[in-house]
Amino acid sequence: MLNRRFMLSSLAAVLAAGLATATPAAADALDDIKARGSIIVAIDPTFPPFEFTDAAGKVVGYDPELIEAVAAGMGVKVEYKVMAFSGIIPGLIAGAFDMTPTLNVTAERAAKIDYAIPTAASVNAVLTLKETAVKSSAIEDLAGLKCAVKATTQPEQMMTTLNDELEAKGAKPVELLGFETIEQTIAALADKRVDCVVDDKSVLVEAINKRADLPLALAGEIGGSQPIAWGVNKANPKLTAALSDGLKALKASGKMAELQTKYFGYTTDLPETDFVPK
Amino acid sequence: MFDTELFLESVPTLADAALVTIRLTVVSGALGLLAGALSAAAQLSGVTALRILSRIYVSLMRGTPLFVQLLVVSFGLPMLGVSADPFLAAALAIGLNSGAYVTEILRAGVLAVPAGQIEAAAAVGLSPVRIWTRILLPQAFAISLPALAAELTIVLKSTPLASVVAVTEMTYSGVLIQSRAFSAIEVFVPIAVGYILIAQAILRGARHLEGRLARARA
Repeated sequence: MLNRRFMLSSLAAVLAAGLATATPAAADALDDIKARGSIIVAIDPTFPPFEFTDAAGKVVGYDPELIEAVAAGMGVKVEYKVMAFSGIIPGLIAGAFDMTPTLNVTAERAAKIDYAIPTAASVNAVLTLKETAVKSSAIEDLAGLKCAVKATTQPEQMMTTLNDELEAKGAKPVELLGFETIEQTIAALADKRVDCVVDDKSVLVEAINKRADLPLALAGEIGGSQPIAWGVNKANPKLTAALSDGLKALKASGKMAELQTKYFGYTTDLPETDFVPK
Repeated sequence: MFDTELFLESVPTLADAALVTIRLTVVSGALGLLAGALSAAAQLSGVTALRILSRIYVSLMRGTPLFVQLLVVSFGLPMLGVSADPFLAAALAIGLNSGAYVTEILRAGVLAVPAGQIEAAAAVGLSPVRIWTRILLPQAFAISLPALAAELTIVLKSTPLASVVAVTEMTYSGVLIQSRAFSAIEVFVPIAVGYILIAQAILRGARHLEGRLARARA
């Protein structure tokens, strides 16, 4: 899913380049937000547990709770603009709304938009059965074993890169089996057709919780982590700073860790500086 | 594996969103008809500047994706200081897009009216404006009706794109439910049926109108 968002938004960023020539010359959006009494948030709530809708159609999830807490600290209300993801970055660049949550932090995007400090990190992990030949999630310990991945996703790309590194060192690569859905990879693991599953950690934790009937266990994380953060138009440095301050306060109070446990099942240490990849 | 509960729970939400789809189709279609009628008249007016302007409009709208047009109208207007309601911005973009196709449909319709009628109308002293409003457009409309109805069903099926500019119509409403419930079939079957029903209403309405226009002429 994160991967899909990356590709769609790259496309949208290219389209937005045509719109982005004139950045609004008005004052910082922070002043408008205070005057209006609300912050306008563009959101595509199709991405649980980060953001989704409940049965009543209300926008809920990890990021909405964070946004509402930060907005409460600023003394303003939250106004959601619910829209498909491909319109969000172009609209943000055009100044049609104040912020959007849950963007992968990439160097390409950082050239067009600013980020508040990260709210989450996407990190991949290795899932195994409790009785397993897998010693740890280190790539050396996976060499020569079979791993299930979802085809054409970022975890699969990452494993292919790690395989190249293994082969360069003269080790056997991990044999990758591509599947369509997470359920299929779990089924392959349960049937012992594979030794492990590699996918986004929050997805695997959810699978462990949903399939309590299977002896599933996390062997650990694999590869680097990629920060996820809120995006703001570059014309609004005061707003970006205010959002970052609000998030720091939620970190200090323990509210952010509490929400991470509630939605992801684990907590993550997140950087506050130098988090944009070069 | 059909989750009846999810299906029943989804239907009211989808029905509300279907009304948004219908409103967007009707408003966009009306704007498209207006834009197309003006543009077709400009192209056949014999005034070079108007003809060129209409050609540029048609080429621009047919030569760029509706997706880009939606972004330009919805996010370009706020940059010019015009704050646009998402629904109106989406209807304007879809309507202007459709107007280009309507231009060509109506132009063909006007050209299909026998030239002798125009000469006769001019001979009895009708002004050019009256020739257009009384002779050409009504007949061109009747001739073009099947093609216009087909164009309106295309407008109907363009409306899901409005979700990129914050209009929650029927398809996106289904996507929201589907991503929460992790089930597709219970949501997208009623959506498909919804589109079929709306399209049938358009096509049957057009047939009915065609019949009435034919009787009125007879």
